[in-house]
Amino acid sequence: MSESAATVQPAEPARSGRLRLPCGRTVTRLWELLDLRDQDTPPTRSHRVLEDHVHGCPHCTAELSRLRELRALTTALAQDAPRAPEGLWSRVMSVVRTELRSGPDLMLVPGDPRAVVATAAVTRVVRRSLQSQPEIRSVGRISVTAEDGAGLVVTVRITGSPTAPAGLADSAADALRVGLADAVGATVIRVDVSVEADAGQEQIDG
Amino acid sequence: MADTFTVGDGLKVSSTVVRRACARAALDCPGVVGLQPGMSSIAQGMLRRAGEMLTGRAAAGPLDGVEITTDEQGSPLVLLTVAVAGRPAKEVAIELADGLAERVWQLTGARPTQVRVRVSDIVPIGAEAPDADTAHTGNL
Repeated sequence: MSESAATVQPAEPARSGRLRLPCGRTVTRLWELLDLRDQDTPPTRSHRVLEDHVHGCPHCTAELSRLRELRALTTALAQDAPRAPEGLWSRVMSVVRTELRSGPDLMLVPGDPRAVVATAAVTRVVRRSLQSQPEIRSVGRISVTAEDGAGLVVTVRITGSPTAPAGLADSAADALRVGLADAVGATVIRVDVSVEADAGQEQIDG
Repeated sequence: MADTFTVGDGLKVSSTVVRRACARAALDCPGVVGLQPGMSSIAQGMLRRAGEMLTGRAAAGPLDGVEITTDEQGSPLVLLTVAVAGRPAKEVAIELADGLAERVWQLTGARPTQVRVRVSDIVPIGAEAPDADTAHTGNL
C-alpha cells in the first residue's frame, strides 16, 4: 500500500452520476462485492479481480469500511423489533414540561444561528455556579438574555450567608463567569449580581 | 420531509437512515451525552406515534433528537437537539454544526446542506442527566 491513510478520499459523484473512487472503481461495484461476501456467493471472475484490487487499494478499503457502516445502519433499521409503547405518555409530558419552561433560544456565537442553547439550560448553570459558593445562602430570580447579538447578559439576585464577606456581589459575579465559561463557553458581556439583605428568613430557592 | 434522498448512481437512502447516521455521528462527538426530542419533534411525530401505538410499535426514541427537513434542492437540513456535559456547549455545538455533515455524507452519501444544533441541557459532570426519560444516549 503506497498511499497513507491520510490521502484516502471518499467517493466523489462523477459526471455520469456514478460514485467513482480515485482508483477508478465505483461504489456500486464495491457494494456488489459486499453483497457477495455477505451472501457467501461464489464470485465471478470480475469480482475476483476486484477483490484482488481491493486488498491493495486504500480507497476501496476505506470505502468498503464506510459501506459496512451504512449496511449496519440499514440492517439495524430493518431489524427494529416491534415493542410495546411503554412510557410514551410520560416521555411526551416530560418533553412538553421541559419545552414550556426552557425559554427562548440564545445564540452561542453572536450572529450564528446554527448553534443555540436553551435559556433554561444556561439558567441552571448559573444557579449551580452560585449554589456551589458557601457564602451564598440562597439564589433568587435569574434572568439570562442575549443583547444585540453580542453575547449574554446575566442578572441574578442572591442572599448572602451571615458570614458573607464584603464584596460578595463581585465574587459571585466572578464565580458566575467561570461557571459559564466552563459549561457554556458563550461570550458573556455583563453579569449583574444584586445582594439582598439576609432578614433571617429560611428561604431556600431550588 | 422527503422519504428518501438520492445520492447518485440510482442509489436512494431512506431519511430514517440519514437520521440514524446523524444520531450516531452526534453521539460520537465528545461532550454529547444524549439526544433530546424537542416540542416540534413531538408534534411532528404525534400522528406517526399514534399509528405506532395502534400497530404495537414504539416511537423511534433514539432518533427523537434529530429532525430532518429538505432544502429547495431536496438535500437534507438537520436540526439536532442535544444534552452536553464535560465540554463547553459552544464548542460542542460548533463542532457538530461544522463537522456532522461530512460524517453523515461519509456514512450515507447524502450531504446535509446545513446542520443546526440546539443545546437543550447542560449536565453537570458526575450527575445523571435530568429528564433522563427523554434523553437518548445510544442503542442505535
